[in-house]
Amino acid sequence: MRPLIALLLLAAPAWADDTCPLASDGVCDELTGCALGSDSSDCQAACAAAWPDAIVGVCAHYAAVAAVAPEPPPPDTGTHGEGGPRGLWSGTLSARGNKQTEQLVRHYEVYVPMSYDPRRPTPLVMVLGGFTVDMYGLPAYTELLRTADLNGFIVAFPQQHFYNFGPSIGWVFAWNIYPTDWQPNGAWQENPDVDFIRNLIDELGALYNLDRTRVIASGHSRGAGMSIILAYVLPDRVTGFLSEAGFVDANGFDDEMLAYAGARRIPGVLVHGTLDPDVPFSSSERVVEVLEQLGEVEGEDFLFFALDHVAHEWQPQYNQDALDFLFDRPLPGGAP
Amino acid sequence: MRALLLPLLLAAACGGGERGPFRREPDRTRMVTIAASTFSMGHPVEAPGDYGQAWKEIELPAHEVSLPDYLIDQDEVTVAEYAEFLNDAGGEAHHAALQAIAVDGGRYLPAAGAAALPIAQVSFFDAATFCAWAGKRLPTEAEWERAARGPAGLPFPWGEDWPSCDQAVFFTGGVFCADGPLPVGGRSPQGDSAEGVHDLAGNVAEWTQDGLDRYSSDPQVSPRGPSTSRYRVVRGGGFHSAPASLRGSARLGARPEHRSEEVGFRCAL
Repeated sequence: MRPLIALLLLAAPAWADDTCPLASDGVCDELTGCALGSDSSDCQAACAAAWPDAIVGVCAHYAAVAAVAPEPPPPDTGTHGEGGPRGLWSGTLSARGNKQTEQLVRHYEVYVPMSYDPRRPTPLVMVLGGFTVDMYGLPAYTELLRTADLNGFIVAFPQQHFYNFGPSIGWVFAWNIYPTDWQPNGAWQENPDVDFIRNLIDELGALYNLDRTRVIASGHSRGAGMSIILAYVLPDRVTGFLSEAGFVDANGFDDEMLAYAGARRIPGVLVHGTLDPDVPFSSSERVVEVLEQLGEVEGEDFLFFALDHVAHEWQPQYNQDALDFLFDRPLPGGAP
Repeated sequence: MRALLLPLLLAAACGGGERGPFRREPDRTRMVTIAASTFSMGHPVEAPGDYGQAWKEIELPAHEVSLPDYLIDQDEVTVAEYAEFLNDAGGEAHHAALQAIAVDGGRYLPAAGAAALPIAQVSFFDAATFCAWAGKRLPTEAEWERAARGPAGLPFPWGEDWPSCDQAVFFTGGVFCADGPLPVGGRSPQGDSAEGVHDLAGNVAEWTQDGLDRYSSDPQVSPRGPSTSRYRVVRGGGFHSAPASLRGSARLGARPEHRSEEVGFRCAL
């Protein structure tokens, strides 16, 4: 038996274990003396303490090896859609209009990364533009295609309602966020945009294997206000919100939030520039105030990025932080 | 007989028998020398502009950075080079199904027509390991930015003008310049930096060595971002990126284990 072990040690690849002559001396000599993995215990100890410049590559290799370890199968929170295209595509669906009897054709654009795997439930992030902003400008403006590629989620850019704001403004794209925008006034469940987004989630769920526990509403300005509305009016479908320069005070939705009696603390991320000339910074402070009155705790249930030197702009450098935070707080049990 | 076969099989299963020493002698022939310099890193203006403002507050404050001479790859690492690394040292841990690399009889081969494309679908870990194997390292953020902005500190590698599809492969906001990345150097010389580095704006974005952190306003010599940050910095924008992300000072944090079809890398020395 012993000769066999000796032969194995001699013939095994140098990088397979601590068989390198430089190993076990407390120094990671990987780069100069050995092949990958040969000096593993010394190198792993060094990498655990820090990533010294001389062995960044070695530490990176061990991190990559660790990442290959099979993950346990994810919980079955998916919608098991039958399959849809990858890349950027656009579609339409029917949703109610401002009057109860009215049905409209609503438009949307969707981005599905090449890495989409129909076997795995995939999160959905919806992006709602600000007043008058067309959906086609949002992918570049928000930089969310990059974040979606890196993180493997689907992005939907729903088009706003196109309606007449009267003679001084005319026909524009706008979300229905004021209680008088539709009939019956103030019935949030019957808000035309709530109906549109509800239908859109269902439509995409039928096409893709959406992770029902990770459906995020995000938006900028008026769209940010709408994202908060969606999180509170559709808490069974929308997991949380990302509000960039948003508000709930001007339209009185702060009172509606305070009436929220659900058991779940709805996670949110707020990003707002202190120099915003259009939606005052105090509007996001008001959202924070309401969240805290609802028992939410900053850092646990919501994040607030208050940014100096920033006016009325989406801040893509916080896409990753925001979505990491929201994806870490999935809807318990999944949506119906 | 069994005693003789077993170690051979073990070696073959691990691929060790075909792999050479981990660290190669660096090939400097396709690298560009960036002369020692002191430059202003970050965006110079702190007052917010009108709508559509391109720079982001994470690029602030501008601060003085001094760097010694260094070399940077003229091109993004290609699929062919990455396949060689996989065969020589990297192996399965650094291979991903979506890379443009096929596996044939245990060998990694560039997919048809992909050899000269920049490698993408690589994590930070893959990129840093490749560069170590190549006898190099990933560039720091400061080295990357200095290379992209040139000695004059220009907003884009080619100068002041906003990008066109003749200069870079990116997303204009209306159209994609191309369906995917082009072979490296495909926008040369129009898109080159002052010192002749290719594709620093667009094509694929690029991992840097540094962890993401806020800038300090203090002058710095050869700064390094923290290795403990949750995010590593990606620079340069890719074929899905908006024009603003192609600016030399634009920065984005990404999780080091993540891979993307528009993120690759180049090495420095």
